[in-house]
Amino acid sequence: MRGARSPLKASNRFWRGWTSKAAVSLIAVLALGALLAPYLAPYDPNAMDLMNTLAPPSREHPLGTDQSGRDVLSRLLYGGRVSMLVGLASMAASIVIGSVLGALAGYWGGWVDSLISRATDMMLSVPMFFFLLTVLSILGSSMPILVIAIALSNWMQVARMVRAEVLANKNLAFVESATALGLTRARTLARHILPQSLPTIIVAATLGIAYAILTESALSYLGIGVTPPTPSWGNMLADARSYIWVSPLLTLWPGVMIFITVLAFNALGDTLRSATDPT
Amino acid sequence: MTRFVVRRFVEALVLLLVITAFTFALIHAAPGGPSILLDPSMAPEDAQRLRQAYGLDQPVPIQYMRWLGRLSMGDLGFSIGVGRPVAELIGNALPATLLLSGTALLIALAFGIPVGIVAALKRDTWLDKLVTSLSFFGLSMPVFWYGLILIILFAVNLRVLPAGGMNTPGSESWVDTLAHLVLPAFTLGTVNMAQVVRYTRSAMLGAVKQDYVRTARAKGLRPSGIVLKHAFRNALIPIVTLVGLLVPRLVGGAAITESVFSWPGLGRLAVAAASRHDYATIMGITVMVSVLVIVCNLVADLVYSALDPRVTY
Amino acid sequence: MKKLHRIALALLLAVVSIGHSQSTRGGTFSLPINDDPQMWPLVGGLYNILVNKALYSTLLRYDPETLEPVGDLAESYSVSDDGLTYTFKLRDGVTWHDGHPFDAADVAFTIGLWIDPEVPYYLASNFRLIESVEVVDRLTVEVKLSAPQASLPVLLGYNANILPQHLLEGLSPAELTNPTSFTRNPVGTGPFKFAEYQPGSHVRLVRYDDYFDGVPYLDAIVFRIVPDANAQLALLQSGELALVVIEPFQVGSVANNPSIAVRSVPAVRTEFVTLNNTVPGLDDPRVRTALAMALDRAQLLRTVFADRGSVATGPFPPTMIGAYDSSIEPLPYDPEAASRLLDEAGWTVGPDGVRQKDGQRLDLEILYDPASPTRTQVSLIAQQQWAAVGVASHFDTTEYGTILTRVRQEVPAYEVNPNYLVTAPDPDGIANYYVSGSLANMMKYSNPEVDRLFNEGAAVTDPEERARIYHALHAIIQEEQPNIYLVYPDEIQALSAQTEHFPVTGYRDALAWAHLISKR
Repeated sequence: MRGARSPLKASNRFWRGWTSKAAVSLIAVLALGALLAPYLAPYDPNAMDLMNTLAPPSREHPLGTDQSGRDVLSRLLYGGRVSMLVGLASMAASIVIGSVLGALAGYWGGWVDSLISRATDMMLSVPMFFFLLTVLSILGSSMPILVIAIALSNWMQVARMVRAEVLANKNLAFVESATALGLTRARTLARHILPQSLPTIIVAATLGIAYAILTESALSYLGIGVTPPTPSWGNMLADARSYIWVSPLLTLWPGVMIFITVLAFNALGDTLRSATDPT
Repeated sequence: MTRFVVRRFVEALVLLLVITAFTFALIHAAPGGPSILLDPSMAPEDAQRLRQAYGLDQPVPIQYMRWLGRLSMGDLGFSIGVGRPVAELIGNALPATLLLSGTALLIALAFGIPVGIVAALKRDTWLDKLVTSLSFFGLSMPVFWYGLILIILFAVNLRVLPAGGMNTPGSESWVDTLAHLVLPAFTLGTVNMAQVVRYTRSAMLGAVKQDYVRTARAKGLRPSGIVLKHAFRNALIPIVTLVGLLVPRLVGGAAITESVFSWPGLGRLAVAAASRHDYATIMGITVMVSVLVIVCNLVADLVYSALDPRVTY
Repeated sequence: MKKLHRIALALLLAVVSIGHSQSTRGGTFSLPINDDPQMWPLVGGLYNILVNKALYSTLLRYDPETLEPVGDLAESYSVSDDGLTYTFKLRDGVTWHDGHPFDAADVAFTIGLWIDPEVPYYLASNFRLIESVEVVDRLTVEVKLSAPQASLPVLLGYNANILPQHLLEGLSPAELTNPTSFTRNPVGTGPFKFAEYQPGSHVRLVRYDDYFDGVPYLDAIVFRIVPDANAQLALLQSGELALVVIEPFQVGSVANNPSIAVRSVPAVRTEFVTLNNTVPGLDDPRVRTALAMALDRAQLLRTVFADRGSVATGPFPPTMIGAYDSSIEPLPYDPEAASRLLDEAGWTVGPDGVRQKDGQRLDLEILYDPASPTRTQVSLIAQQQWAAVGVASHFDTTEYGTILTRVRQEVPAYEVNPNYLVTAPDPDGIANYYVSGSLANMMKYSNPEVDRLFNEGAAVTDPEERARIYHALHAIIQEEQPNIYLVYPDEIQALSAQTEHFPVTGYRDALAWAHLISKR
């Protein structure tokens, strides 16, 4: 009977099957595209050509041009840098903040739980638009600030999820035995309880990337996102809306890229999950 | 249990005070001001006089105390820019939002939970992958884009559904309202469905692997029996959390959906109030959403312990 | 097929603009507003103003063709020789929507509110020269000024609605800030009376059969609250709205729809780039002129403004008759001349291609609101075309309300800002933006000659004398370029095919003639 520490290592389990290979390859392609954007992009993403706006795909412009005559393909490549960076970084930040706070709240209980849970409630009640508008206006819309702002708007969900899991798991038999064995509470939490919540955290992470990329898009729609003319998939999507009657394809490209990215990270998350939780 | 609830009640009052103070400070710190005072054709002296008439020339802490005083007597003040009492605006908008968000939540749960369960049971088959991809479709699409596409498709091109609003002005029929409800509820529902599917599937997968499930299987019990009785009950915990989070978000936050579909609900009111810096209305909505958040989380916590006796506080 | 479309559209446009002698009766005309209206004339707000145009009346309103003030509630008026006394003869037989007769007491009451220092009327400054108002007889009112004010007739037609004394007298100034008992059931003398208001959804006004200027053709006007610009277009295309005023970039979206007619009407509007004249570099008129000459404004008009309008020559649009000087030419598009001017001003091209002077680079910050595609395009183009003459720039973006606050501060917090101005069709309304020390003077521009001329023009009533003064102002301001004047854009109206007649003027002014609107 195979137990949790089976002879097959986690990494071997991960690479079995085609999903993980496909996911990793896709992410690698996306990452390479983003990193090598300056070399791959046929044009300067900000070069305007007012005589050739909203052009359909052609030999010169494989994906057409946008409302200012800029090459869509180039903007898509550079936009990937911004979106993936914002997506991953804010997701990572919100996951870390949320998991730690949620676990602490669930495990320690008492006043720690009260404090953290009420802080969570507070962040959930404050009008997000105003919070973001004020923060971004005072501190500017630079990339790091944007990442932190988006992270701060999303950690609460993770915290509540993890807290719920920890509450359910902390009284299980194996935990008692760990305590009996003399493990400190912190160690018990980190080594035995938190891993039980890993599946939920992974799901939250993959959802978090989608949320972050789309929030950046919503912020651009509201006028406080990534500073133009820097392209991001989010602001390309927001801008393209106004031209949907004349050039529907314009909204398609960034939308498809967001979809593929989100899908790839989800597949990765899924396979990671199965690899670390093998039964 | 009573001690627990009482303790939470006291915390809630303190929390409301903190939230309202923080929000009040936040909205007054935001650059810009009530748009009604920013009309370029208005002379600065007239703007100043209007500002005084609205009580906005007082220092912020004084304004906050006044607001708090009125709140304790049940008065939410008047909206700057619309002129109506805030309570009336919220009272008008709330049923509209409940209708839209309630329907959307129902759609998300009614389709999302079964789909999530099926995906978990048929894990890694083509069905699971298809379902997963489709649900991610919903997650990748911003509502302001997806909603517009649906409007163009069904209202402009096919002309089978109205393009916005909650009813045709002058019409009182509920059939008319229902027709207006279809597109926005579907948009909001499908976008949130993805989250429900993901968490349900994940939770089911986790629950199905527990020892007691394997034991039951070994005993020869049919999978469906196991699912319904044991696994689902435990899988409910993350779902309950999700619902607890979704409810206030849907009530206060279906803002973009309501704006795109011109739905006269709280979300549209919140966005409009935010852009015209209508402090009174923003505070009123914040109070309401806070109460909702606090209540939902309390209920969620109580439901956890009901579902799973191992959970203690 | 395309040619047939164009012919059909031309026919459609012609029919929509034709006179109303055979107009069809009946129908509901729907147009969108972005937010709830208060329906109270003492406070501002665009959507409030729009609804009030159909609900209430003013003493004078603007003729759709000439924009000259003509009689609304006032049948005629006369001015004393010293310009200090205006006598208004009011129409007989006018009734309020609740049946109560209208008379001079209502006018005296309303004007009394405007000049009362305790009552917060948002346009009180327009009437600061009114000393007293007197009822002469049931239909005659006499208004006395402390100094002559040439713009008074025009300003009386600019959102100065007359209010019912019998419903509002006795209210304190505090109550008059927001008289909810009145605004729940507003009563005016306009062509349409209040029927219902669903907050967040719509305002519905129905035909007032006893309207003094003839029974309105429409059954009802509905102002639908539609916050999203793209949703407005969708509602127009699905037939649920009859009129949407669109931005130039949206013209392409409706051009191919045979059931929608797009037409341009002249507007009292100027698009410009505001320059903070206190910023190093921008304090030199040669630099400002160079920046203007480096911008291809004709191309801007063609690409960003859909070629609807004309290139600007200064602060007064052509719709300001009596002030606009058609003999003044716009600054030429001449990047070479611009470069020479910059060299002359001491800003020479540095090693990195950016001009500098005394060790300081000419790198301007352009502040704009990305939610407006028009201003976004202007900013992007400005950056590109200025770079070609060695002027670098970077962007700062935020939402429009914040921008307005920043540019109108004592010490303005901006350097360059594309913006626009919509005013009443009288040049006196522009004065505040150029006079020294005024908060509305975003450029912090100061020229004693300009101050003197504006003051003079406010008082002079003789049209020729006025024209001379304002033409002089136009020339001076064009010379000094405190702002870069871009275009005078037309108002672009997208009307559904069901619209039979809609007055050919800006929609704000057209609503004052709402009784003439008709649907097929």
